[in-house]
Amino acid sequence: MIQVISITIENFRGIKRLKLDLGGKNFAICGPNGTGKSGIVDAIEFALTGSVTRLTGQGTSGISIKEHAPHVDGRKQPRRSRVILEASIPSLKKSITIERNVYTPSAPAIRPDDDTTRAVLEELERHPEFALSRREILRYVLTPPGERSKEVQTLLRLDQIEKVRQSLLKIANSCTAELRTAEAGVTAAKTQLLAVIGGAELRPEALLNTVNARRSVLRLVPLTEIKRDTSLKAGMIDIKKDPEARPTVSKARAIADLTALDGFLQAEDPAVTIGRKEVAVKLTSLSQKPELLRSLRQQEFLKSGLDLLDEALCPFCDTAWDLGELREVIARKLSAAKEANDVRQAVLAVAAPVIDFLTKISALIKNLAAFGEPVVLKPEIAILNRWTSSLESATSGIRTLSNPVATRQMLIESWNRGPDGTDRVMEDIRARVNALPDLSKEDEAREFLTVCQERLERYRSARRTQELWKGRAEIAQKVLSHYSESTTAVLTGVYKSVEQDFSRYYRFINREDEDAFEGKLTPSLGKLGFDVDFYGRGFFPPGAYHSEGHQDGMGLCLYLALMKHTLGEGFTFAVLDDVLMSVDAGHRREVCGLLKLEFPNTQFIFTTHDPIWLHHMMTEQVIKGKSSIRFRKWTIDDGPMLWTETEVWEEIAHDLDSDDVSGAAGTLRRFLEFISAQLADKLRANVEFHADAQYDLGDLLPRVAAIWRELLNRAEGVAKAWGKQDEVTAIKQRQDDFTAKLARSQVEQWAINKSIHYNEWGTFKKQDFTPVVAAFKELLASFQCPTCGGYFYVTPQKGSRESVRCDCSAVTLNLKEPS
Amino acid sequence: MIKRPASAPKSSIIDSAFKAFSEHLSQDASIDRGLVERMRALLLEEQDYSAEAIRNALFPENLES
Repeated sequence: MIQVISITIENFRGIKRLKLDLGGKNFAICGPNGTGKSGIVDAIEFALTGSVTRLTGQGTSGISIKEHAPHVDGRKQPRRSRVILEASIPSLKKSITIERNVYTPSAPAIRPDDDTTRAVLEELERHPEFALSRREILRYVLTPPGERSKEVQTLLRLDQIEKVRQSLLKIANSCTAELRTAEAGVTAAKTQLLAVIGGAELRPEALLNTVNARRSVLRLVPLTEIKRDTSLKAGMIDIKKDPEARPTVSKARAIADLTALDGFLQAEDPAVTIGRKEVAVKLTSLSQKPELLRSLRQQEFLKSGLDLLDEALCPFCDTAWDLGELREVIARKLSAAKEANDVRQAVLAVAAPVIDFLTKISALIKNLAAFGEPVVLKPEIAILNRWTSSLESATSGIRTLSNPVATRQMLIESWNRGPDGTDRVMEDIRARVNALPDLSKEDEAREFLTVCQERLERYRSARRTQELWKGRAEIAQKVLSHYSESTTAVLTGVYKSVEQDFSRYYRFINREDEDAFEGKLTPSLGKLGFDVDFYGRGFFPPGAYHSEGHQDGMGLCLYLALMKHTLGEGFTFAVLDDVLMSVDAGHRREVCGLLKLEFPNTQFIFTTHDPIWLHHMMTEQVIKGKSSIRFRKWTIDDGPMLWTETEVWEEIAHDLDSDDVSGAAGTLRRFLEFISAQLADKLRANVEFHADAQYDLGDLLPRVAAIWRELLNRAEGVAKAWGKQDEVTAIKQRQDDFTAKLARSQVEQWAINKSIHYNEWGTFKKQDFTPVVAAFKELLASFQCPTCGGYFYVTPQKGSRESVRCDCSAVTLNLKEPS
Repeated sequence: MIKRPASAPKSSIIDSAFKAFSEHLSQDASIDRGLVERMRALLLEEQDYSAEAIRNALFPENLES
């Protein structure tokens, strides 16, 4: 990965033009909400990946990078909306420049444009996780296990493992469903075959005897065994019959088929009776739960939808969708309907004999319909077909639970009756069968062997299909099982390592009271459990007992552990966008310590609206020197505005030129408050403490002036003690200069003379306020090094004051007396 | 939400996981050696993780029969 040296942003998002020099070091951007901090995060992400998450993620319908990434006034000129990023690549010890404009976001200009640089950029495009916001941090902590698994796997780039598992699961499920259909086919074919040969079970010797009896009538060689390819009609000659002279239906077979059907309808198996009643009770209960019914219906809809997803557009409204994302959403919804799945399993557990029974009746009715005319007339065939349809609907209704009321009614009231008119149809069919003439023994035998062969073939085919799907279902299940077992073992190892790092990081930042903290990441088929120790009382989900601030801390620790595992030494860069805002001051210091200790080679870019957090980062040396900027406001014309001397004085001058004394006074006051707070900290002024951390100018500037006077006096005394007359002279000159400037600013008279108090500045006339501005500009110069322009500061930051310095060391005032 | 490009290649963790699976599968004597080899080639060499490709590796014979 890279480290950012500088970034130049032009006409991008809310920024007209801004250049930041980061120097490959940690950098902080601080400012109130709406001052343009996130615009910089967007620009970094755009430069490195060509994308902007905030313009492409959820809830961004109708928003595009090309149209909405440029500054609002430059949206017609996307070529001029660009980001130039200079970076170093530590692993290659080289520097690169990436320039990307909004018009061609996927075609950056890269210098040097060679294979190694391109490879680094491609790696970055694959790792947009370098930018992390607070919202995203909580994803790792508070999401349900199934979703957390996806988020974490995405971060660890393991989503392909889950994708393969999902595919194997889908294949195994579809094989099981095919096997179930094939088994029903075997049941139907067997029932039809048994109807012709008689008996309750299909036994080879019984079939052989029955067949050989008919073959004997036809003087055919008896069969010795029935193999998979044995023809029952072997040697039989088909005689073309005169349809006018000979009946085409065997009376005996028709009676056998009718008898078989009557037998099932009139003497129900006790197991079926119990099963029907149990299923009916469950269906009654289900029909009283509309929410559950809705969930079940939705499941069926989603299942069908999942199978049909192969188009780039929604079939309802033609909206373009991301197929992968949509599949994931649907799969999540399906697995979420746990109660619906439980009910379905409970019904299926008692429904097996009922489904078997309905399948058999349906097969026997189809036998009957197959006679055709003259035994079964066309209108009667239609009625029989409606009957089989209703039986198949009942079977489907039990499996899908889609219409519990109708399915229950069928099972209780009309399971053994067809649609209206069926009784009459059956009577008529019986009458016609009874009226059929008896065939000769030879014709009867020939007809028997022909039909028996047909039904045997159907049965054999059904068995082959069943065996095929049984084998496939077993293989698919075995492979899925091996896959789940082996990948879970690998992932467990990965998560163990992440878990150890996570726990160590969290203990570090909470060592005061959670030094025995442990976190547990538990992977299981497509899910990732996450539980944390709560003060030795047990392991609970992170959101159960820990505060929001602690959860924020956990999110950051988990993110850091995951990134470390994913990138190792390559984790050289991360953007933490407004993270840790609910973490308290004490723990923020520890977070700074953690980043310094564990990630000394990673460049962190922080954004925050909280100046105190920025201050923590600076005092803890996570942010050093000038590696931060503070935005004071944002305007549509100028973008983010910094608290820099040049900008502020220019703005005040502009306001005064426009006779806007009130505006100039407001800017001067806020700027002086900002600088006074900085100086109070740098010079270690004694400011009255406010618990709300709100300090106005009157609280700060007089105390800054007082400490500066005291420091100069002390420095003079020390210089005298060391016998350094030149320094004494220089300090005296500085004291005189400061006294004069302070007098002109009238700061010391604020408490005495209200008419010159800063609260009244807004009422001044331009000619009265202009000298005030000049006086404060001069006064601030007293605290600045004339060489580097930096404000003076006392060292060390705590304990006995030893010196006053500036960044370039051109000015050093010794405060330490000779011992 | 940060999204990753769909074309992201596999990581070393994925590689380890697929190798472990391949090894696991090859130790099951009840599974056809051809299937083991097809799955290994698919995941480790061809890197085609689509359901269709996996189905064909599992059941290369006429699937519509």
